[in-house]
Amino acid sequence: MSFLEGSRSVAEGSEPVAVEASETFEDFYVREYPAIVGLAYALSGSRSGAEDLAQEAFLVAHRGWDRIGGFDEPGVWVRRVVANLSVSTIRRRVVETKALARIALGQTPALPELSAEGVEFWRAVRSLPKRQAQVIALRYLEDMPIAEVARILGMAEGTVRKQLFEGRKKVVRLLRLEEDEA
Amino acid sequence: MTFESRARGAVLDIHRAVEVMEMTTSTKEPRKIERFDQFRDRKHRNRRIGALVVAGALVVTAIVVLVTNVPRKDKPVSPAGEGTSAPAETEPAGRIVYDVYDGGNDTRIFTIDVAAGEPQDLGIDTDPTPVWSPDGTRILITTTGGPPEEATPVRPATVAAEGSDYRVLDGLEDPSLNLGCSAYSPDGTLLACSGYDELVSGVYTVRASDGGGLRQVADVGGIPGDFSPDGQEIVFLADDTIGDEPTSEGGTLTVVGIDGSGLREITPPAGVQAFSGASWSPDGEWIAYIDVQGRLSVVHPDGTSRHLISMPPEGQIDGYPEPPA
Repeated sequence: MSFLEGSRSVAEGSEPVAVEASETFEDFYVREYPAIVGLAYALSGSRSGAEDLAQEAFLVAHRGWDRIGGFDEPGVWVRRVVANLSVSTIRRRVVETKALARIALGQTPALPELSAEGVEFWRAVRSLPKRQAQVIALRYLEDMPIAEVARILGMAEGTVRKQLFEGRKKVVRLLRLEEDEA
Repeated sequence: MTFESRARGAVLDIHRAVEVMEMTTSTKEPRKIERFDQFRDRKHRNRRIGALVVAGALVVTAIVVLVTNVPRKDKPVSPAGEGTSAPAETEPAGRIVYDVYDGGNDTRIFTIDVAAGEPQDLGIDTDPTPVWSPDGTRILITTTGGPPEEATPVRPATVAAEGSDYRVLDGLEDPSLNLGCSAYSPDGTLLACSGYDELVSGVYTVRASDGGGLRQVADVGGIPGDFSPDGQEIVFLADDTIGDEPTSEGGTLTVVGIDGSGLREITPPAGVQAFSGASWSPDGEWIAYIDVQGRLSVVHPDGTSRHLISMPPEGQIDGYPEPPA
């Protein structure tokens, strides 16, 4: 794990005990791919690198599929990996640099640009401390309950609520939004 | 407009973008799982050429040494060592230390003998940017944070040249600050580090002996590359441009005094390849780096005379060598 990723391990420690893989990696990949790419795109802001970030996360899962495929929800594991990869300055830039090199050779990014408002919103999210950005992206992209966000990031629910509150407050200020009704 | 409504729109944007990508990949390009296979194959291929990349790194090192002898137009060339306090000689007996990112969450450290070319795996999983101590006896690395139930702050650590005698430099009183260090001062007494917690990010120095004596020298996040030969300044690759929008494709080479004075950007914003490092020449006149297009470049520490170094036709540099096959 990079020292720029945060002080928690990406994919160790809080995993459930593995049992026999219940679905094939291919099925898992096809089902989860859109959500994982979306998370990478929101957190990295990179049209060129988001797909590679997602592929990196799936590649790690593929290597250990006998174990990871046996988790109750391997999607939790992959979301944690991609959420950390996407906010890791080192990993993100390694991936982006290589993706940009391929673009220079004539390949085009598969992801289209977002609207101006979308770009502005996610840029504001990415300017937050990394944990706050991750919490907001996970919470909103998949309409995810706090408990699920906490499980993915390996944080206490109270910490997630605090990070969500702080992150939202900063984005409201950055984008000069109105306060939401309580 | 409220946060909730703005967030809903931004989420829809992401979902639409992914849908467009899915439609594109299912009609014009290989199906998704085949794209994964292609990605995996590309990684394997990169590993096979890793040995060649390592060889290229040796060439780059040689070129950087040559760069140190590039004469400055307005100044005569000094004999080696004259006018400098401690020219850096960081590789003991011709060994280079480098890291290999395995595509997972850790990076492995190797050393390689320049003459023999045989890599040695030190058996350490760590973060990137291992660095020799000036006396060549230790390698500076970074601890990982550890699993959540026993998470510790990220800290600098050192190992002996062959990978034994792992020592964590945990002299900081603030347990919330994560600190990864990537440069030794020429006299071996200080480390230049990148530090962050949930709220702050900056460049710091600590004592090399125990990791204590924390001092912030810049409040912009970045990875230190090198000390100046007189030990008075640090060049680092800033994550963001100072006072500007964050960048994603590259970093900005920035210099700051060890007392926090004289902070200045010396390359155009995002003009430097991310995490390619930067090396100060022993005479202090030049800083070598890899630009965002992978070309070896040099610049004076005041940002003047920035130019490319001639390379062979195949001479693009990949700053991230993958494991030898």
